[in-house]
Amino acid sequence: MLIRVIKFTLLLSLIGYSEIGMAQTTTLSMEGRREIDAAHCWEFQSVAYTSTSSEVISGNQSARTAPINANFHSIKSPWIINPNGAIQFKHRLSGKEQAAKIKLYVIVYDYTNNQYDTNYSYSSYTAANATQIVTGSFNIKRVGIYKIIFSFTGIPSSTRGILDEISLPGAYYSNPSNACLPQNLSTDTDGDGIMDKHDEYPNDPALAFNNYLNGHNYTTLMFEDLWPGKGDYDFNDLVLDYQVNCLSNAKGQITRAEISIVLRAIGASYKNGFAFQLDKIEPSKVLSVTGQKLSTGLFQLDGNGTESGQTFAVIPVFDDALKTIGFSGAGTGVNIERNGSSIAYDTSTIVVEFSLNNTGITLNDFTLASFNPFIVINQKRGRELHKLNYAPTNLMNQSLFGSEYDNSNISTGTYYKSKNNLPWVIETFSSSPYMLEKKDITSGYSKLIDWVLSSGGSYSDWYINSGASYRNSSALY
Amino acid sequence: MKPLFHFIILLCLVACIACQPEPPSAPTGTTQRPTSFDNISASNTFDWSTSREVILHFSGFNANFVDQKTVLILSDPNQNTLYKGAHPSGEEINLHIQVPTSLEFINMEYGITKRKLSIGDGTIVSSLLPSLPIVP
Repeated sequence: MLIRVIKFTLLLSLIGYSEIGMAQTTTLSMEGRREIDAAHCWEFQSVAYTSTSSEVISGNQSARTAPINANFHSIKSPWIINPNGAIQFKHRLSGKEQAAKIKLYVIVYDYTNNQYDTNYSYSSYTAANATQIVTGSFNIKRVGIYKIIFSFTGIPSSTRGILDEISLPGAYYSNPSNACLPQNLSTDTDGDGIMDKHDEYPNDPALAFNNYLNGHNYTTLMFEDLWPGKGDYDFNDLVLDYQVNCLSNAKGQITRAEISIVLRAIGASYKNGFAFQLDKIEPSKVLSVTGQKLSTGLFQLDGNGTESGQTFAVIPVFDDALKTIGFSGAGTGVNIERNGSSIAYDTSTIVVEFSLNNTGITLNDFTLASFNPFIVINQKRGRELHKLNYAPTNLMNQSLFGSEYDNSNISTGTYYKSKNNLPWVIETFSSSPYMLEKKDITSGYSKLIDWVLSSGGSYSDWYINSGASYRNSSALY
Repeated sequence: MKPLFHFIILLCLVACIACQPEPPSAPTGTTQRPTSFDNISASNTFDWSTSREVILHFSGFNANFVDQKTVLILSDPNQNTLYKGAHPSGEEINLHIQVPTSLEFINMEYGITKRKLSIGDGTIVSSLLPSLPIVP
């Protein structure tokens, strides 16, 4: 009968640790990986599992402490609720050294009242009986939330404590998904399966998480708009920051993207537009786009706000930077000279709603690498300028590739690169100062050249480090 | 006889010196560091990117009683969240995220599991299980 009970307990423990059917017990068999038991809220302090046959109490493994000393060597259970019945376990020692000085305590911890009660202690180990298996059991009847702690202690020796077949008379009440806190602390207001603690939209079942692809930072883009001609390399013809937040639901589907674009400077007289292509997402997956600032007719839109005639979703943001930032005066720039025109930055917030048809869009479809921003130079739709090696859209005038200083090679997927492998767009992964008008970018960022010559191996913080050896602030706006 | 002897000695010396390996030639000049952006000649393979893609694989673990999902959080050392999503513990998780090239570590959190993951060459293989200290 005893064997049948043990087998039943082992079976329950294999099934799991939660509220287990009618038995309402929480068990630990030590037959699997200790890490898995830890993931399910059992805590081990100086305790591992042993499969040494002379030590194992039952099955293939038992819990075994480090050599015992005055410290606690313990197993702490997950939270259990309303324990009522017998706490059962088996124990022994690995050897006889100092056996008479070793004790096993079983302590009940009361969550509500923050109290520890030693309900059981065993100090009858002797040199003669140390390795014999002892069955421990005592009854408990309480209302509330508890943990049970099994702890060996003694004076230093080579002897270890062995434990096995722990059975607790209460339903499992920890929440592994919430740092193993009691389940009643795991509120999920909108019922989407994500606890309020982690749910950034706890009242909206359609949304759960913000995913800032730039890691909460803004990324700076700096353009030279004379492409394919040679620029003056101050990289301030258009300067903007952007941040991409993909909002996902509990299933990991992106339901909405919020792209914030801050137009900072215009060092050109060209009327440049700005857009981005989502390189892995078809236009049909976009339900709607809001927040665009379009007035010149540069971009032709479909009903969902994406540009017509594109294989992948192209989302125009503004079609004339000068108009967008509110500059109507003379001169050739905004926010590029200390004593020149100064206008407050303009922020556009583009909101893209996505369809959830089929599997929807995941964060593996919408990555920062597949976010492909570009400008359209001076209202000529076919004259796109992208980051180095980013592909143009369907509406690019491909005859421009290879002209003047451009050395693109469509067949090899090489785009927007000069014969010296120089780009016309520089991107920094955090918001960065840009150059004053006509100041070569290398005069502001002292380590940029070293970064390039090392092919990125050195000075990868060339744009982050604001130290005097990295930045010359007199050349920066 | 003596001059002939001297001549042979001289010949041997010349032969010995002539057979010595040549010392490495001294540099004839140093490469000029570019003084402006226009003068830079970048490697053909250099992509000018200040960020890079990191591919992450997390192996799950079998916990057939836990049917609810646990939130996986990836963050940088400044606690900026790089990824947040809910996954059951038995799921194999494959993710692509973009991080600054200067970033060396990512922190991960999944339930009680917390790890500091080295980005290394850009591929991270890890587990959703907690790391437990080795017990002597």
